[in-house]
Amino acid sequence: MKKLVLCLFIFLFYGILQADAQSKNITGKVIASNDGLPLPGVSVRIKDTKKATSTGSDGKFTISVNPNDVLQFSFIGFVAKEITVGSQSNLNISLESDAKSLNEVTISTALGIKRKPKEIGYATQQVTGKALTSSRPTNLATGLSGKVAGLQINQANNQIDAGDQVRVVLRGNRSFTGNNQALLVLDGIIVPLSQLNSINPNDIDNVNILKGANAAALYGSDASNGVIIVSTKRGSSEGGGITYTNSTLLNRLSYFPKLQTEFGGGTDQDNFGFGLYTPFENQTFGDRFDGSMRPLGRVLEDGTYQMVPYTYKDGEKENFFDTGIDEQNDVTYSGGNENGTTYINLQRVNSKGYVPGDKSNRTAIRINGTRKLNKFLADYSFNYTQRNYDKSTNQVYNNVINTPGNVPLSEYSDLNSKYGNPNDYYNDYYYSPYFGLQQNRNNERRDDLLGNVSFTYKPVDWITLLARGGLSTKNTQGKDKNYAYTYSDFAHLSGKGVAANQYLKSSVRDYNEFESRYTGDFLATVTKTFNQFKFTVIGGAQVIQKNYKYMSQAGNDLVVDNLFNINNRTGEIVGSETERNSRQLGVFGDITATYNDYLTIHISGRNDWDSRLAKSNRSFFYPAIDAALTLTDAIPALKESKVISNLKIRGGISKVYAVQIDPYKLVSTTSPAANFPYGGKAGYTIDNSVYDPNLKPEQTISREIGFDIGFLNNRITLETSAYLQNTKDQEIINGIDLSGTTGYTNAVINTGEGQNKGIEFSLNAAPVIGLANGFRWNVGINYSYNTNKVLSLYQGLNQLSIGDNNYIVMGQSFPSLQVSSYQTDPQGHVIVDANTGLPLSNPVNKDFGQTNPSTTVGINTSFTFKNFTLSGVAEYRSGNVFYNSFASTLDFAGISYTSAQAGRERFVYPNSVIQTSPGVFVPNTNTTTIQGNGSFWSDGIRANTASNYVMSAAFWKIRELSLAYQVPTQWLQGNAKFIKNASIALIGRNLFMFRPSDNIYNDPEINVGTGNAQGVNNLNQTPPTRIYGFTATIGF
Amino acid sequence: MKKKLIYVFTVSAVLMLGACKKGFLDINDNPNNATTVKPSLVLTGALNNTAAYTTGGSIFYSFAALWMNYWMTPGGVSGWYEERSYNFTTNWSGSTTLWANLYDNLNDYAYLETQGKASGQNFFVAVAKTMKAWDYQYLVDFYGNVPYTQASKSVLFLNPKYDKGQAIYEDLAKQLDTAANLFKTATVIPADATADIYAKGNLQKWGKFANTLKLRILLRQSEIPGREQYIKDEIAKINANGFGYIGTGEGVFNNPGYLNVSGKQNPFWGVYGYAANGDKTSSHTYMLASTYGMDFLKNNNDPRLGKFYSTINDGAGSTYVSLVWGQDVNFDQTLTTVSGIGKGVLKAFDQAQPIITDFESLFLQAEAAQRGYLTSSAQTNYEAAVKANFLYLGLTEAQAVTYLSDQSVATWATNSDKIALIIKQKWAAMNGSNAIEPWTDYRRLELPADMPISIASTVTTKKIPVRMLYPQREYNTNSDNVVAEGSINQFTSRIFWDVK
Repeated sequence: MKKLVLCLFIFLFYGILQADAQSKNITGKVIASNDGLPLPGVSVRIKDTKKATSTGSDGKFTISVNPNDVLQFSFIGFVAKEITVGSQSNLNISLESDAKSLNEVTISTALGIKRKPKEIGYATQQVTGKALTSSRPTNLATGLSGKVAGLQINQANNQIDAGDQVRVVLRGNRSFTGNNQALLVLDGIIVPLSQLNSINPNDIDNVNILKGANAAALYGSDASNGVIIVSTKRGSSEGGGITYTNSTLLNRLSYFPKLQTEFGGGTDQDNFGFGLYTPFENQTFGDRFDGSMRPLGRVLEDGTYQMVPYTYKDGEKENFFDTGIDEQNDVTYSGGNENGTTYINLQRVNSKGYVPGDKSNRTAIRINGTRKLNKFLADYSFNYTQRNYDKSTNQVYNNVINTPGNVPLSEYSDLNSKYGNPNDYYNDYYYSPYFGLQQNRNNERRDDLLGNVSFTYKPVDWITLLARGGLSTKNTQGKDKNYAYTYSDFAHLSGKGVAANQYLKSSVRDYNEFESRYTGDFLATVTKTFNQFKFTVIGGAQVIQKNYKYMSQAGNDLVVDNLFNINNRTGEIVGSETERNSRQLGVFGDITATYNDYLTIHISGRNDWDSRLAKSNRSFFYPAIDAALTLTDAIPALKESKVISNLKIRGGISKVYAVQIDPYKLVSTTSPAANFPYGGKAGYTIDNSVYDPNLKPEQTISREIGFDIGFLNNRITLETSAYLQNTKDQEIINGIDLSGTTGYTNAVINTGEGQNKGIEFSLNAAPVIGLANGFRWNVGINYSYNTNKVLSLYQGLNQLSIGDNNYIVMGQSFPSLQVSSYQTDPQGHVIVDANTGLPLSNPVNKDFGQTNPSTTVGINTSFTFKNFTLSGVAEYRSGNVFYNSFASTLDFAGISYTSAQAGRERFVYPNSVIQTSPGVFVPNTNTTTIQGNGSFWSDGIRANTASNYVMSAAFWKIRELSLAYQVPTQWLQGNAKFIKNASIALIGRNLFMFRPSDNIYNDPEINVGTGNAQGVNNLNQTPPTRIYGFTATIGF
Repeated sequence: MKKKLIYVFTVSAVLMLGACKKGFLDINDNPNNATTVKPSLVLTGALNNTAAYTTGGSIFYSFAALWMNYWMTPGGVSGWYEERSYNFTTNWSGSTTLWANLYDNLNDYAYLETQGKASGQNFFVAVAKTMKAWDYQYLVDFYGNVPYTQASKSVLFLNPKYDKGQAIYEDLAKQLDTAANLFKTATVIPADATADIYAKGNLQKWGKFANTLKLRILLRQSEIPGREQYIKDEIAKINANGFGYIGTGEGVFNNPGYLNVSGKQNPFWGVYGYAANGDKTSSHTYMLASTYGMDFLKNNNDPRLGKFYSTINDGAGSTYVSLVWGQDVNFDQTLTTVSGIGKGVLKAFDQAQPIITDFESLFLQAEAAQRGYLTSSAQTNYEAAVKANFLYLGLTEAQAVTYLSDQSVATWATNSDKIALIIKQKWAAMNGSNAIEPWTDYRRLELPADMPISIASTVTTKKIPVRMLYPQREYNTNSDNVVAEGSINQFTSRIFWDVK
């Protein structure tokens, strides 16, 4: 890779030596005529040549010209201007804004069809590639966080391979158990959302978000959740250029749960209930720290002990985690001419995880291009990504937590050291986390190939025919390795718990997952204008095929230790195989009629045929209609307004049918009965799910209205939307729970209806303040409020579990969190036992409300002055709760802050009451808990009552902060001519988080998974991190 | 070039439209799981599951083996609150697992019966009826009234109603008659005989099994006033089919070909014995000897002592040590210092799993004869039962004869209360092969009368529970029907045959 970069450099230098010797440099400044503010990014080109530059953030430019040259200045929204250079050496150019040309701005909507904003009757929001990558996210999803109203992105985990664990939802949940995540469309082709992590953010030209369901006619059912349309860069048709970018990001632990610092290791207590020190305990219920030297661990084979001071050692658990490093190098070539363009990007990312020893890399190549020939246009893009992971699968966080505060954990990092080796590690019951990391590991390679080719044919000016084929494949190969270890006889016989089994044998599991999706589109577009009317009619057909295959083979008790080959096993191979294939066909029509350029009515309809449903239900039709009216054009009075420059109202309604189930969910199945086969003896059993062979698709009716308003020449814009979505015949994909007496435990049927509604505002001011000296302050604020409600469920069913403590509950927002809790009196005080003082557990789970935020606010701001740009993104979410299930382990281990709040003594349970007779409660003032040490915090009702760990999931996060410096083009012209542009930026992601004071545990975004069940974490996630570093870009 | 492009363009458009051809969407046949299978495959799977869910499964021992004072929990490990205190809830495994497993198993037999009827293979129908009776008897014995007529009917009855335990019992008796009569005439093709992992297609053996099961069902009702004539009439029907009952050496066992591979060992061995690599399972170290159970053997010079229990240190020691049921235990009262489960019941990873043993059948016949339901000799059946138990454990008939003649706790002649003698010896014999039957006998007859109650401090009701609670899932998914059964208490809501 390094060599390749070097070659490119040499090649470039060679080209630069041929620069024209007669030229001279001129400088200038471009301002806008209406407000006199400098215009950055104006294209400055020498007519009839490929020589061009653009203005800097202060509007200034430098270019080398001959006296006869004509300079062309062009900028979107402004009337282009040509100036003959002559003898001038300093130009001041003023550009007129062009209302007409603003109308030429188009937005890529469904299927890559470009529409003017005026013609769009539903909510869209565009994020440019530049805005996405200002803080160098290594994946696209995190780059979108906080930038789009109504778009919620959750990075569920931050371990080395967590990039795929992102949940992306637009406008909340509609389906109870089906997919609610947005549809991802890459260069016109639908690709699985998991591909978000394999798209190089630097390749992205722009991302356009269609928030509502109105694109469903063109993309099919999946688009009812909104669409993220990603367009990657095409080569520039104005000559070639190479850009090199390096980003180096550090990933550091940011928030660790709050810990107690007063007590050390132990589990037993004396006759008075005070903790006693046990040198080899994982729990921390010993006596109070006193600074004395004490033995740690059991006596060693040589008769000695490790002696450590009995005090709290600050930062030992936190320091267990390393500084992760992501180093990303990109080389991009972009070039072409009027007949075709080429864009090539090579990327390599090397990552070192913040969990010690984890590492990964990503190598990607993208080749995009266009080729024009008469009435044909061919457009292609190919992207190949290979990722390699080497990570631990050990639940290392659990081992870290089960470490008393007096233990110098970081001293054990060397597994061959006197106290760090597993035989002599102090802890009797838990692995050394360093040892754990070594014992259970996984290697995985993921190969992704995305490609699409389209041919456009324009037989006449007003007809466009397009045929397009796209393919996305994902191939994962992995190996789980559990290493062997033999404990010493001494350790084994000493009674050390972890060494009870002296010889741990190694085991291996190999797996392979293949996922592919083929899409074919055929589209005919006709555009015709009749007097004041403009019609665009699209007819098309689409075919989609999805294939999935998973296989695994595992072998246990390997004969030769740590030779991870399945042939080295003893006993049988344990294997499994799953395959899923489905096909969809769609035929659609889409008509847009525009009257006088200000009123647009858009009607679409689609009929789908889906292989997953029975023949009689497989075909379904769904229509949509929306309209947009630009009042500033329609009403003459408004047209003249100096204040309001744009006012558009819009509204739409659509119906979408979606098939949520996997293939083969219509007929009950059989499986080999448990443990079969026994050698040659087979046995089968009827599986536990019953299906509805006449399952219907899930139906969503969405309505939305909104208005967009622009002030002061669109310097300030406000986009608003309100939506209401009703989804009925919900397909409960894993089935509703049935009484086992039916013979089955769940039924996959249509049941229930949910309603989802909300509002969105997107306010942008560009600039808020703009000064003649080039200072600009831009602000964008995105606000959304979303709420939903279960209107009905299956007959007689009050609630439906969707796993991870999330439930769909009649009449409530969904999903909501339900966990075990204490009994409370009508005022909500905890009821304690009159004798033991212990809170009483409530057999009925308590409902804590929704796990998805209702309110989200995103704020983007940037300050530009001279060549510096300071930008930031902040995000706020609230209205939801989350359950820190891992925190009960903090209590169990005795390291939690809360567990020391009562000084490890018996205490009166705060705000508790005692029931004196049925329904009569008196405040508890003096009945203390019968225990105050480990038997209360660790063994008893405390750690078992999940409600202790449920709290508000609200937060403010500083998502991004970056300070970029653009090397002045004038300086480059004078000192390093071969460099067209250069910039460097300091960047930070998730630097700060502000959360309610009772959340002493975690980042609410961290979650067990990316399914509909949210708001729950466990020990499989590690604590949150902040990311910071720098990025440098040089363009040639 | 232009022509080429037109060509490419047309071809791709045509290819796409070609997708509309017939059958393009007919790809929803499941490549992962069969949607129908031969009944013989379900037969094998279901029979093996019955073994794993009932007599071979830990749930048949985890509480009853403690309550019947066979086994006791160790020190150094916490747990067994419900077992030790008898205080359990609708979420406890005893309440949930049995219900879920048995109804799951019943669905397989329902499929087998339907398929057998459809294809005219009466062997499958008869086996299905017999095994459904086996499962339902346990359901009634655990829970009393349960869904029966509307159960296992899939979406036809999403909320099956509960039937009276006694009505179910009466129907089971009829079903077993039908089964036995079908066994008389059925034919079994060799392939299906191989699939029958209980009896290898031996219809005589199945007939005896059905009859013995029916005898057990009838004997359960011995204490119900006015039930004697019904019982006798039903026994007459058994005698009419001519198969007789399971006799010495005719016990029904399951063996699909157990392997020394994790999960494929004999299920009892897999839980209470040793892992495939020879390591002790955790439950092996958790289940230690209970004093009442061990003392009965120790005090009566019973050669079965070393078969039901190991010496301390998992057989490496020389002494037999036990713990009193429910006592407080110290961290050093473990398998190292206390006796564990013996090699007479933990024989090997591939030991055939007893479903109904010859000695259980002989004890049933002894009791039935003693009550005058059968004409055979109660004493002969009783002594044959004890001998069969000795043989099962790897002892000799001679040792049994000596025991029967020398030990007053076993001698027929010297014990005036024959029923008490039979039940106590049945209790002694069933150790490690089925702990539920002795619990059920205890509930029915309050025998053995001196069965100790847990002395754990957590005990609030000094009584062995008389039933399981309906599982929480039933309250969640079939709540109207289960709530209609009223408030259920494990100490007072008795099964219909529990009238003593």
